[in-house]
Amino acid sequence: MQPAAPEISTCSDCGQTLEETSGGRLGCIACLLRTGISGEEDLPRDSNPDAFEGDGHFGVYRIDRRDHESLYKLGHGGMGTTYRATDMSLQRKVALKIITLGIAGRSREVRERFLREARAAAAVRHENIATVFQFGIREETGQCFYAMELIEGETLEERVRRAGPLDTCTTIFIAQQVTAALAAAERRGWIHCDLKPANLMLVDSEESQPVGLDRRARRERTAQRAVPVAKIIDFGLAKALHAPIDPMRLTYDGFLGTPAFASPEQFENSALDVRSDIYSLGVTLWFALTGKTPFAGRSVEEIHRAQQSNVLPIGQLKSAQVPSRLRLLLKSMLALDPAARPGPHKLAVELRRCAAQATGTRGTRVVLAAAATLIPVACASFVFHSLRTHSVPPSSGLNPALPEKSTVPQFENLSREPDSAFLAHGVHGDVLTKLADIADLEIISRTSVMQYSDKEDVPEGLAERDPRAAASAENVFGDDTVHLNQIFIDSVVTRTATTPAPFVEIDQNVIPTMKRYRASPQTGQVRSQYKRINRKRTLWNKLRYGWASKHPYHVKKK
Amino acid sequence: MPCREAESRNELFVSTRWTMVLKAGDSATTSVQALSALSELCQIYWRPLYVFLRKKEYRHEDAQDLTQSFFAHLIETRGYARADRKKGRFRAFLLAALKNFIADARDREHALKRGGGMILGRLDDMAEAQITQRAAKWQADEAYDHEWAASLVRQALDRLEQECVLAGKSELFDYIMPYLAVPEESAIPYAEMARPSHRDITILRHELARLRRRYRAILREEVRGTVREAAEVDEELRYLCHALAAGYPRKNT
Repeated sequence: MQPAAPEISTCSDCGQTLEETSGGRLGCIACLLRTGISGEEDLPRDSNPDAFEGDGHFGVYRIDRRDHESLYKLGHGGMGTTYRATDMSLQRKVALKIITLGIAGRSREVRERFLREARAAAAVRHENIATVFQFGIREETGQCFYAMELIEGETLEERVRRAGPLDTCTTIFIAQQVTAALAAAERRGWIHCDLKPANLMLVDSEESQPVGLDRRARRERTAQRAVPVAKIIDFGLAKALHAPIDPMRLTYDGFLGTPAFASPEQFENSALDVRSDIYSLGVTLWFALTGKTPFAGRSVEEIHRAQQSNVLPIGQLKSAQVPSRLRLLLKSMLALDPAARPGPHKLAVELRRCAAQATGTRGTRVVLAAAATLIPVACASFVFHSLRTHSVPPSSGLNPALPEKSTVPQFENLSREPDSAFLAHGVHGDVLTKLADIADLEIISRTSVMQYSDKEDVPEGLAERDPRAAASAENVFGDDTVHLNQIFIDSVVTRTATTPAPFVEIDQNVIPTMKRYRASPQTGQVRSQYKRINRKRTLWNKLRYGWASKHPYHVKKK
Repeated sequence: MPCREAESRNELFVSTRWTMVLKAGDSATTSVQALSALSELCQIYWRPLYVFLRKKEYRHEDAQDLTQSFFAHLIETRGYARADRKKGRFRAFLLAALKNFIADARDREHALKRGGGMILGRLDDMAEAQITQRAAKWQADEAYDHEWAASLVRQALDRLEQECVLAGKSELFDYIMPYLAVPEESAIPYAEMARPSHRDITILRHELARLRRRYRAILREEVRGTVREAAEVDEELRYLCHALAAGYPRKNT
């Protein structure tokens, strides 16, 4: 159906048709153009921007202008406009958001409450959450603003609009980062309330390399993570803007969030928790994979109705060739009932399984295309279960210490090749040995770990062997977070999540000790043996050699 | 006229978006600033190209894709290096380049390429209907000029609004904006505006005058960004005013 022809209004001065101008307001283009012609009026002194806006300062921040004098606008959203600005005291670039508080913002109480809430939200520190430097009020005008780290990248929304939907692996990797951030925030009692593609900044991984890595580690890290780093922006801002005066109230005033990405409980103005963010993340991932949102509508009511119908257009995901496991996961994230959605930990577990499926599929394809005769089809992916250790207080400094105790959880062979199971033990033993060399880190014994191996609710990590003979692992521990991001064959790198530094690099020249085992189907017992392999060969070469010579590490089955 | 003098003095040093692009065309390599300037120009002025293509009977989606492809092509092939230095105005250059591009695309069945590193806006159904209705009486070139003028005005008003927001005067902008171009003071209902805006008539009068002056400065800056010499600003504005009027002139750069 064709849209109805709009009503025509004309200019009372020149008779031309009025047209849509700034902010959808109608105006006469001819008259507005004519106003610019000189001769009618000379340009006075107060027509320059500084005279117009005052000194252009918000606290210590001054908004940048482009070469041609227009304001350096970075983005615009429902809560305000973001500009690039300069911190005049530290001489660094920041992203400055000027908050639109509307009529309510005239109230001092509202402004102070906003600042209180926003400052608390800013205390959430995580590598996947943009750091907030300052919240403040411009005294002259009563405007609220906040400065956060300037992230040189693009939003997920912009990426999808520019380059089309993302592939499955990239989407999962982004989801894992966001989930880790949500989990960290949840532990401090904070939720985002407006998670959407426009609030996720993507930075090329090379640009976001942490300091302290040498060239080799940098190169390996880049090869391993040729996908963007995600950073959530505006954390807690939506909640702060709508915070109730009475902190005991569970509901918030007015609608929170962006309709297309809002959870059912946001529409119903109910109490919100992290599962609301999980729902929004589900819609966000759907958008990343398909370029569309699952529930379309021209108004809040239409979107809400579509959501309540509970009919997900799964065909969109199938068309985008989204693997079945991820489809199921998205379906669970978009459950109407918050209780039916996975929590952050369960979500992290599921995402790792999805990653294993996605990367497994990709590895198989590569191997088949390359050398079907020599290279085994097995793409060994291992998931290891980690344990919660005792809680470690969150670090406040820039260089937090490693946790006092840590664990190396069990690895599980997720490949279809039972013969690859020995790698699970091999990687486990290798990590265990290397972490034990760190002076300040106490490793819980393997025996103590075993009792948790069948627990479903503990966080998981992923170790994946790919054709580059590298493995990666990630592990989340209680209140503090330790990532074992890359367990290469000859090195282990550990780091804390709250800051890129310090990195502890462990003896890169040591070739790991490989283990092999023999399983007994009758008793289910596992016996392990150790074998040192040639120092000068990589694991992959050894595997290829082993399989090609039909002696895959002498693994025997009974 | 101190301010006119100041404007002329500044012109000696001014490097506008279009002159940056022209300079980039002269050198072997294109600077990041020049590409950024070209990108900004394309972001502002994609609608006139889109309208032109719609008038050329391209379907909605095709016109959108073709506009994106054109920008990608312009940047990749450094098409801006062929702009006429002497009488080059960005408006005329862009239209000529687009005409060449679509002729080539037809001849060689040019593959459409999305993006070109740029995200262009999208028109909703209502805006599309308005454009179709408005452009019905014009030829493609006329529709292009009309939309160009509209894009200039929109850009200037957007900037003015942003500055008002920063100055904490966004509500005032809402009240005053409809009267920015009204020449007759008697036609402006100050008394009606005074109560809801919580301001005296005298202050409103003063604010409107300031806002109008700032708007004018911004509009001239925007036009300046599309022409080579400062002296061409008035000429360009007059040309566009005539283009909008009934007696559409046939002379152009």
